[in-house]
Amino acid sequence: MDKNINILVVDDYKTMRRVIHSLLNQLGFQNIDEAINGSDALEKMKEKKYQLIVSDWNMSPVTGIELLKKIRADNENKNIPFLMVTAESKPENVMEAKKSGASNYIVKPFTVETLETKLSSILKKS
Amino acid sequence: MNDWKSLFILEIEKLKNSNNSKGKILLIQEVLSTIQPYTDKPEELKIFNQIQSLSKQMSVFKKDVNITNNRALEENFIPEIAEELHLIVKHTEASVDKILDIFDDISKVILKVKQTSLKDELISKSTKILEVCNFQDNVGQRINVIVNNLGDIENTLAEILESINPQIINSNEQDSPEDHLLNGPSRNAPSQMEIDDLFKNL
Repeated sequence: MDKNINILVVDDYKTMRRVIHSLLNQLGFQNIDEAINGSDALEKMKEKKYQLIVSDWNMSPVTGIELLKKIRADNENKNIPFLMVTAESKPENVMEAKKSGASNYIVKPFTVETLETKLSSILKKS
Repeated sequence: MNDWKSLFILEIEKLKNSNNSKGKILLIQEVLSTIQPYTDKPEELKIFNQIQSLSKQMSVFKKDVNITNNRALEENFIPEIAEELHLIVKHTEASVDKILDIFDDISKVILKVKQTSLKDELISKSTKILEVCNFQDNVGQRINVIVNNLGDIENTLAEILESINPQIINSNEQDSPEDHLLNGPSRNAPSQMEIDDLFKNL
């Protein structure tokens, strides 16, 4: 697993961004940027190339699922691995995320082991 | 004033002054069953439906926040509850931020530890601090669900008042900018393992 990739963490809760950022640091990833919602993420993606997006679902404006759909519809970015990290745990949410092209799905609250397993699986495929 | 309206006001007054341990949801349902036979007019039935809707919203509210007693519902001033809840979010957020500051300080100290096994153990233990801080997001989202439910209850109350006397309130309903958002954490959420199975099998 390449630990030098650029990762964008997208969450409207400052503390949650900080938690995910620190957990990624603990796993050895150092190149991490943060976005406060889907709209901010899209702006940041215009300025820099990312090799992984870790995004919450419930945000406004531009939710996580809207961000995922926009990324998958964009020829330049459509193959970026996208990990949905959300408190939404209904089967229909998981199904929608999968259909929209999510690389994997983590339900909050989660452990560092879960995060590591999902990252390992996603980054192996990409 | 129609008979049922006098009765309604009387029953609501009783409800407001009641210390009945049955709770307000049951009392509202009792009021409803007391006054409903007094009318068959569509516009009046609409009012009963609104009260029924209020009662249902309160039930959902209780289910969402897992209230085991009725203390919160015994308060009459709903906006104060919403403000209190926003304060809880603010305070827990500030507390988690402080915990994360301490975590950052500890991480710097850990880097200075030379003994590898001790260093690894400290990293592993300190990572648990981060995992525990996950709770803040769930607290925030759950409280937002409560505040939104309170807003729905307030709107229904406004509709009831307007139905009785249109001069009292000019209903001014607007879509919330967050209407498109989902539900957030739920009490009976499936485990990560169940989510993984579902994700794999789609």
